Amino acid sequence: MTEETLPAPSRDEAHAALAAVSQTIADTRRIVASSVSGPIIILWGCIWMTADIVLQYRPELMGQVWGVLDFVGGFGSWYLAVHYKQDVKIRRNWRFGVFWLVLFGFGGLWVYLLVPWNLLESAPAQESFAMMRKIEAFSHTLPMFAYVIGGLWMGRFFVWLGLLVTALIVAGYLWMPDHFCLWLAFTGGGSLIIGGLFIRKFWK
Amino acid sequence: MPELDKLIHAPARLKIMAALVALAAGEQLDFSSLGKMLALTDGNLGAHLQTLEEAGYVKIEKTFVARKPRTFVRASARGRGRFEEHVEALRKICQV
Repeated sequence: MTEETLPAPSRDEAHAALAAVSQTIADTRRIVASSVSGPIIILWGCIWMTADIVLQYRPELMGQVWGVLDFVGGFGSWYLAVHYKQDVKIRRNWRFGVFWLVLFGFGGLWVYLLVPWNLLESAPAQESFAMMRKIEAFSHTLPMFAYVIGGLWMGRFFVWLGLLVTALIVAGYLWMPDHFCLWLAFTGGGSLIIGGLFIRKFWK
Repeated sequence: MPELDKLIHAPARLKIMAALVALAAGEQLDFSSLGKMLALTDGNLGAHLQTLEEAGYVKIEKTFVARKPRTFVRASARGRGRFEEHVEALRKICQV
């Protein structure tokens, strides 16, 4: 037996120790995730809602609206992560920010490559609107995909939130084509706002 | 064969290591937040962290944030390895 070993605990003691470990890991992940995720999710819910209401009536402004609001969301998320008064203060490593950059970089790259931008300008309004609907559906489900994957480590709440919002987006895409952006605003944006409020209230 | 670790086996230190290992590698937790999460007093937490730091299981960094002194803690690679081995040893005992 080395200096750092000790007599084996009983089976019950080992069970109790493992239960304490599992509980502490789960509590830590939940508290850390909730400390800043709630406000950031609410911010993005408001941004989705604003952008989608505007785009329902002015679809030709898609590039400008998302350009401005993505910047506001990115800056706001950074500001909240750094300055928001959190119950748990954590120094994130660089991977956290890079993850979101890579994800949106990936989404932006494929939207840029797959959308026939030159044809869109001359296409009938209905076709332009249909293409915008596809881009909106893809770009809204992309972060939800990240929530589901991240939720496997961060907590089941994120998995369910991601799946619920994705299901709502797909339902609206299929069955509410004419009012898809309004649907996104109130179901997608609304779900994020409610989810963020839920985290703030119950994850303490 | 995984071995139990005498330092980590103490209930408070087991929870400290579990909380730090729950973070991604390189992420650090604020000292007072850690104490609050685990319901440990500053003195108690400080003593346990000193023991773990001397063994090379955690890294403690004292710094200033907005001109206020702050202490951040993270699990070292060695600490993560020993914690995993300790947990594996506990699992083996449960399987016997």
